[in-house]
Amino acid sequence: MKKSFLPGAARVAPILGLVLGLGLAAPALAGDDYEFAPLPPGEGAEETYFACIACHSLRTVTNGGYSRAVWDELLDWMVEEQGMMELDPEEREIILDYLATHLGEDWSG
Amino acid sequence: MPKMEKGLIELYHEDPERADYLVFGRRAGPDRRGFLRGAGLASMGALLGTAIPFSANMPLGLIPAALADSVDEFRFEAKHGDLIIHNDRPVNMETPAHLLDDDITPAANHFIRNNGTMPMPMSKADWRLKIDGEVETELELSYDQLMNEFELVTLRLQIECGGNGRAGFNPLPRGNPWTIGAIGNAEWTGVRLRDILRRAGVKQSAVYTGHFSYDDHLSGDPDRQAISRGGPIDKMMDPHTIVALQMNGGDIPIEHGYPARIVAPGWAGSVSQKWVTRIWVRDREHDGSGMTGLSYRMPRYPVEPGAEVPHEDMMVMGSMIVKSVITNPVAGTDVQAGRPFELRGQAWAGDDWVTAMEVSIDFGATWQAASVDPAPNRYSWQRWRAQVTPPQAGYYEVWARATDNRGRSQPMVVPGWNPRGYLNNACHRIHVNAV
Repeated sequence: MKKSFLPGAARVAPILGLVLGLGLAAPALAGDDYEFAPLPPGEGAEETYFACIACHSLRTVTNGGYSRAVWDELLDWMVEEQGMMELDPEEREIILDYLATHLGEDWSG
Repeated sequence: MPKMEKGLIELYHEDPERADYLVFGRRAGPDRRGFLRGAGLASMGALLGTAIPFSANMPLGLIPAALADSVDEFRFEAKHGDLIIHNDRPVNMETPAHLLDDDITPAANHFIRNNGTMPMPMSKADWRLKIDGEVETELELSYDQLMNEFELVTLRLQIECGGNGRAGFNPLPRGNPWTIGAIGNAEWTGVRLRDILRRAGVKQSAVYTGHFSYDDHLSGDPDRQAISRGGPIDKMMDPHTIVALQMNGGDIPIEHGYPARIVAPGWAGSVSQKWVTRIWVRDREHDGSGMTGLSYRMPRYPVEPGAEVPHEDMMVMGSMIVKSVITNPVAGTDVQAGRPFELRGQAWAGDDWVTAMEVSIDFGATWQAASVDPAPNRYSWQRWRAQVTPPQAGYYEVWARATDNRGRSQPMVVPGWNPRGYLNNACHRIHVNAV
């Protein structure tokens, strides 16, 4: 009994995320000047932003800081059980490095 | 773009087609997809900072992800403005303690825990509830049938997220960092699930239910369930487990499961499937989304904080455990030194009930008994009250501790760490300044 128009969201959302990022990043909409807010700035923020935003808001990411092992397991879980597109290994490493470094256990939101 | 008096998300929930028109001047095409013409296309594009190449394919009523993403912009007008927003996609909102003061939680104050996308409301006329699996006769019931052919019951029932209190665990397990307010005690009207199951005829082989709903998985994949949990048949046959058709005397708001949801009080809220459309009676423990791995499961034995627990050593959570919240005064309030003031709150204990309540204003060195009202019906939370007097001016912490009918009390410190951060029932504490 699914609403017929909803599955399309998956296809459209990533496209919008992409055009926003490559465009002028809509400063009027962001709560912060940083284009990948609410992610903290750092190498890999851009890759992380686009990998996550296809399915959920970045708040899901910044709500907690976890160890590298937990982030690693979380990425696997999203691919294996939650329908996330598998990342290419190089990109996965960049994202995992970013998460472990900038959103580690000492991250306090 | 017109000034929006309502939050974007709410506007879209109320009437997506109208919202599209109001916000973007966008009208539906004959195939029910949106097409953007003239000013509508330009204004949506301007807001996004670029054109939308596939605008003709863009589903009607879809909030552009780029707009829906900023939690700063997110407001949910149906909700009290003090609710804590943990997330907006999926929507997860927590009630601050002082807004839990009502004996019956108003919808505006009730926490929201979504796993998937907030669905567009399905009309009562279109909605059906299917019962299948280990039953003699499969049923497909309409909203009106449930309303008219079954006995209706009205009960105050607590629904608490299994991860309520997660923020207290260290290391922080993943998931929403709920503090104390992922709990609500609304008045629900509906049909006992056991009456429905009896009409279908439960087979001897039935041991568990699996619940399905019409909301979508975050990935948008129509073959995935955002969440599909269930419970053992005993819990489902409890006369307080209902298919709710109304909340606080009116239609259930969309964010709480319109037009119908399960309420299985006292267990993790995820058993109480919102937007329910199917109850699959099973001959084994259900294995849907949220039933396996580490989700809604606890280790079979106590583990060290941060431990990796093998999945086979995890078991599905049952009843929630004894807990209480201080709803008055608001944390940080000034009170008068040497004068009594009223402390009050709510207390609950999953499948059990609260028999004693104590409070302390000296960091637990001494405790004073509080009164606890009996529950108006089983599975409702219970009001507690105490008068306390700060002896002199200064900073005080107020601690509150509930004990259930089996003699189990809330711990003062955070109880056993577990991989996903469930069942933290440590005492709630607030501070007051005596002046």
